[in-house]
Amino acid sequence: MTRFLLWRLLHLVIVFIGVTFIIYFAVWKLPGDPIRVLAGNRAVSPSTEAALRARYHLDESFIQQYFHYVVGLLRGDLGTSFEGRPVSQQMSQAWPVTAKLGITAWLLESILGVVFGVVAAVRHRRLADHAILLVSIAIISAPVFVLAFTAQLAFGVNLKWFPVAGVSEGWPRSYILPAFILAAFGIASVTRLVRTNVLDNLRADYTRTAHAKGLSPLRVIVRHVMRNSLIPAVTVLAIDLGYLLSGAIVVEGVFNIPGIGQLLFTSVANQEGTVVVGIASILVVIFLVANLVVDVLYGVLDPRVRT
Amino acid sequence: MNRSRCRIGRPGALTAVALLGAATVTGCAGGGSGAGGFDSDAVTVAEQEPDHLIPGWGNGYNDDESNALFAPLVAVGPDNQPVLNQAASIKSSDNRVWTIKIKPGWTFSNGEPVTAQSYLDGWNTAAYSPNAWQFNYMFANVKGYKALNPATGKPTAKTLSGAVATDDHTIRLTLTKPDSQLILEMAGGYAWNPLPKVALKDLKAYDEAPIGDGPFMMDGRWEHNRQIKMKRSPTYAGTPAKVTAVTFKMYSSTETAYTDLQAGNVDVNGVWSFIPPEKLSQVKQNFQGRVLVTPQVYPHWLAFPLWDNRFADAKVREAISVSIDRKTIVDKIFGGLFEPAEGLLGKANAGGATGSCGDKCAYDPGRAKQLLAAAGGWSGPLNLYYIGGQGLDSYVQAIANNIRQNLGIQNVVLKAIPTPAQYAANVADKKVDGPFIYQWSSSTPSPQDLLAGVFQKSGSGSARAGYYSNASVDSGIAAAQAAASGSAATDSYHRAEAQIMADFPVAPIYQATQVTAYSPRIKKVSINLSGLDLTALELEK
Repeated sequence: MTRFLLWRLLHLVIVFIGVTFIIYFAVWKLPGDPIRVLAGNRAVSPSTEAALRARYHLDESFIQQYFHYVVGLLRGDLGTSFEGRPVSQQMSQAWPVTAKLGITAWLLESILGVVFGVVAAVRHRRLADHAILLVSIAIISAPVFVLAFTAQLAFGVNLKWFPVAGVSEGWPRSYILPAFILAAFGIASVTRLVRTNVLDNLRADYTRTAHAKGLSPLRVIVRHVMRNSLIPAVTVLAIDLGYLLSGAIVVEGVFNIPGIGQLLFTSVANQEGTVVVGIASILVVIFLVANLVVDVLYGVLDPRVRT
Repeated sequence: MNRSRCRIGRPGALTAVALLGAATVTGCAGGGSGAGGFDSDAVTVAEQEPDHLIPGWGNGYNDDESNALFAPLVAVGPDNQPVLNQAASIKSSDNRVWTIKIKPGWTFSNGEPVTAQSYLDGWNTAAYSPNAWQFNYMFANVKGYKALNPATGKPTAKTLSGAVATDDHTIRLTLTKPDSQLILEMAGGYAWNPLPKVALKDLKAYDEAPIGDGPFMMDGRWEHNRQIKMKRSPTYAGTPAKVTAVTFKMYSSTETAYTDLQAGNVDVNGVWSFIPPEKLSQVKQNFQGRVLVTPQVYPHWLAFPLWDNRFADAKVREAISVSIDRKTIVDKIFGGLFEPAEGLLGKANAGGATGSCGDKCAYDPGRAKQLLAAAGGWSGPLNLYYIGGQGLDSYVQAIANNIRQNLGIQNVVLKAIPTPAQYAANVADKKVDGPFIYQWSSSTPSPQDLLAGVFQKSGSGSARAGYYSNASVDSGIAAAQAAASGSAATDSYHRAEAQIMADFPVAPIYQATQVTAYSPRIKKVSINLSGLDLTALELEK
């Protein structure tokens, strides 16, 4: 187990270094000039431009720029955006917001996904099953921004149940609507997954045995069928947690949530390379850790994958 | 044995993760401000997050915040005429050496008096190249600018030798060449504000909560990407604002700001949280007439790649121009809220609009065909360039349709370029091979800003007109700047504009206006070229 963990940690370091290099290169190669963007409507004076280029090492080669970045990184300095704000400060303001949104969405996804999945399976080919199937297909096929704008208009502007945008009302009120939109796709997928597994397990021999032993139907479903049916859902949910914590560009944009997705979007548009690389690096860590957790979970659950 | 442990293990793991999630969520819940509802005398303004709050430092997306925090020397008054504000007088006999007297008795919100030195501190900081302020160029014509902004090497001075305080309330400003436009440029110009002593100690810290001499003062620090709260400044020496507090709410999307405005969660859209183009045709209905349309200096044009031989003949450019039905486009796409272009300068400019485009901006499909035929016709595709994702698609589509129908060029291809940065780079590097849309906005009424900025050879926005240059235009603009009187300057600008339109490097399409929608709580809102005038804002009782 220790060797397995060490091996995975080494993977993590290699992937991390490779990814920061590639992303740094990709941002650096983007057409356009960050200093021009910074200037907005009009060009800055040549002396200002020269001062900005020197400050951010933009007058140096790519390798030199990357070197400055890595040296800073080793000293725990994620760099400064062209606006002059430390990247670490920008991220420390954005992550908690995205974390609240992501975890709220994840809880909705876990709870509603499992409940709908089990209900659909137990009420197989009855009204509830058909209704859940229809709604989940509709949600899976609708683009996120359509769902988002519709929900915003319906529940924010017309019914006034939730704020239209922003996080000024705090958790949970400001987060429920966007979290629901963010989770919608996941809820639908988890529902489909759980339904299929529950259906399989309902037909399994051990279920028949449990029934034959005289257990109540509810107890059979909760204690026997659900336990076995949730294993694949746990994997999906663990990976989804990483995805949900990585920020949602569309949802954060529509609901004006100052999270990591919004920061990433504006940073790419403004060619704020250091911000993009900083965010991407941490995203990579989140995904790698989420995957590591899934693998360790498997290792714990199934001794055969431990090598 | 093993199996039973697994069975307990699986749901156990799930519960642990769920608990962890729940714990984090409850941990976060305390952070919400729980704010809601309105303070009776406070207003909220939708904005786009600026990069800096100090007026001369940022990219200019801070107009409304600047107007609240700082009092200008010269304000932009009704009819876009300059009105002395904190300046008592601004005088010169030769437009080169200026004497600026400021009114005594003004203070910053921390009690520090505003003196001539406060202004010099502000100007020197802006002009000092290592600070790398965007509006550094505002001082390029001040004597001594070169020493602070050498072409190579380190600056040899930290202060502008041309800006001297002769007493506590008098500044002698010496320019390198006469500038008839100085007062107009100060009105609505960035970076002419004073700075208190505390700013000079740590500019970055000051930028997070600037102390100014304006009608409002910061109430707490700048909450990045969320809001900036201000309250009425008790030390303000001008006419005090009627509202007691203002909150600028930051929106990353103008669509979302519009929806929130519609829902009544914000009172008015600031100048940088403009009404999205696709909402212009419905804004009057959505807000039941609570919409203010203010003329701006904000011309939008179709530029031509003058480096491409196919556009070398002015008849081709004119043919495309007269094939475009500006009136219908403005009515159908922009809800009639913008103005179809009749020239480059608009009615908000000093000296007004001239109609210099004349017949070349008049919709005439018959003449369009004749002109194109006379120029030898067109073969192959015609690419139209614009920035995607900014709600401009239907506008560019309409231009394309006009060209297709009226010029018979079937293969008009829309080329959307993803970001403003890439668009600017493609144009600057001459990588576009078809007409491209561009615009320019001035916060000063002076025609100098647009004409010199885009149509003079040395203009920083010269690429926006396809690197157009004409020596007589350059000298005409220079003569206007050097003119002895305002009317002589206006005449020279108008002659230069007429010459540009005779050469026709760009086809003006429309003059954008500032469209401001507001909530039923607001009785009166006022906008000028420099942004929202919060002192004039009145609430319904």
